Amino acid sequence: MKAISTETVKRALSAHAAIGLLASALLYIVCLTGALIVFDEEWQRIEQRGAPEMAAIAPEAVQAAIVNVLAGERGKPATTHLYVELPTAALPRTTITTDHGAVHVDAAGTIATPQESAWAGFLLALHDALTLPAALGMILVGVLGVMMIALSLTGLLAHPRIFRDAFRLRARSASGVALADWHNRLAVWTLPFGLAIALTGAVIGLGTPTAQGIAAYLGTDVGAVFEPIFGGESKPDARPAPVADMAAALRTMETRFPDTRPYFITFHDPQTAGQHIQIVAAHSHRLGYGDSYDFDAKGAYRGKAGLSDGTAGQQIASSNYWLHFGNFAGLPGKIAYFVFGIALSVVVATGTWIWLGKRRRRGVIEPRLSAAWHGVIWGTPFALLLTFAARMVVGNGAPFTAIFWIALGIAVAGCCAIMTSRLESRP
Amino acid sequence: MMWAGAGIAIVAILLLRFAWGRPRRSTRLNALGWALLALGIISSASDYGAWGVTVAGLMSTATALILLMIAAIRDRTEPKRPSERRANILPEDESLFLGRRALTFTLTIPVAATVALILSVAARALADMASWHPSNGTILALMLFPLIWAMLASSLLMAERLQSKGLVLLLPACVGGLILMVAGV
Repeated sequence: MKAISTETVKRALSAHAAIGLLASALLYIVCLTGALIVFDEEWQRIEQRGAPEMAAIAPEAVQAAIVNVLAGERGKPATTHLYVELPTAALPRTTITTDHGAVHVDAAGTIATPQESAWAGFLLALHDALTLPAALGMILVGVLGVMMIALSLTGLLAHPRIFRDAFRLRARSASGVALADWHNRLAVWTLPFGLAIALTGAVIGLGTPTAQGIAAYLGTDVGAVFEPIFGGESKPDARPAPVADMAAALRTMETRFPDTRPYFITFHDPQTAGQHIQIVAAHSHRLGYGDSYDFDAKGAYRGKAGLSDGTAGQQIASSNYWLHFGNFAGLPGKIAYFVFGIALSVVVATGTWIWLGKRRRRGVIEPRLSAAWHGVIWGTPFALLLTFAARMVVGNGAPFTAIFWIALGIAVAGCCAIMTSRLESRP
Repeated sequence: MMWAGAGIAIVAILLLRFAWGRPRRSTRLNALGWALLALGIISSASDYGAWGVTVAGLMSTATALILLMIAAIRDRTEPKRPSERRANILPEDESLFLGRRALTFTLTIPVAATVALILSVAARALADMASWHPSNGTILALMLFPLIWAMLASSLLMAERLQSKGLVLLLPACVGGLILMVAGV
């Protein structure tokens, strides 16, 4: 008895093609940029080579840096939050971000230079929101994650022999066999990775609309939906107060939680009576991004969110991010994510070529559509290279979004124009 | 144990490569390959939980891709011009079926998303009824929404008749709606 009927295989193949056609161009951009943004920290170091680097920074230096940054912003509206990125192995820099900008500081806490990582920021914005406004773009990319899951499901149903032929690769065969082999083999071996990336990405992208649905059911707001997972914010108290004792909080982390590695600080409502500190610290050999440790203005420990040892839901939520970002196993893990991400991009690219080839064999020849697809496949890395060149030549202020989309548009239009002129010159 | 687990998973991939490359398939070798893979993952999980499983998974995937690259390099097929053979020729005046396609798109994207959201929120309501911690119920709903939507989209695109598509959407929507009504929404 056959496990899957021929009719089901046909329908699954048709569904697979339909979803692929609907999503492939944007999915290709998201997969390719996803593979590149795995090296976010490395790109930042390449972009701004002169920024001060350090293996670690003393708690007192962090305190001094915060005081210096806040003093430098006197006369501007008070920042509602202040973020400190602490040095890590991948990015050995200390960076402070407020509502007014971001600066690197040196190991003594002195402001060194403004942060200039606009290209890495653009790459991230292209990956997680296709450079659209975040609220809309992240949902769209989340929908692409859903389509990726559906492509995996229909792909499995459409290829009952996919595991049996898992190592059969006729790399250079003609008649579309090689394309199909590359597509199917890379897809089957990256299936666990692809499903994990698609699901975690969809959860991130569609988190807000899902939370809005839950909030409507609970009769509350979105913030209250996430509170049991990540913890809530304290009540603000706008009365002026001296800067909170960040050094004391960091020293407490060293003595009380010596096995953790603090890497990110959120300083809420600085210089107000309601100010408080959240230190995010990583735990080694854990998939989750760590835990969030809460301190009051005097630097006294108040408790943690429980993302590392709380409920299953909290631990899963915490793991969702690093499982997607690929930064839980150092540089080897990042390299694996990059290679698998490129493999996924190849799967997306070959999928549409297979569809076009099948149409050609059935007598429907679509040279302009084929040319446009070539434009997307080769135009996307070309446009990305152009933005990187602009970063190196023009600087941090180059209009990366405009350069990328215009270059990609030109690549697609150019490929179509070349094909049209070839068709017209044929006898 | 962690690295032993990852090592076992790598050996499992090598064994599967050997088993699937034989002229005749051996159920025993295949079963041994899959069993070793499961053992490697369980062993990695026992020491480092989800982190161990993920690292073992990455290492076994990397091994498979290396084997695949070897297969590609060793492939001796001569590249030649694609065949000009035509099969199952489509009619020249193939209709675009724009109306049908627009309906399929509407059902697969906005309508299926709405049904998936109803079911996910219903799952959160069920979790509340079962006295789960709110964080567990919320993460369940967050994970279910894209999964259910993907399953609905696949089912809708595989269903040929409009009635079947309607059933694919109506049944889960009714179940979800019923749960939410019981939950007092």
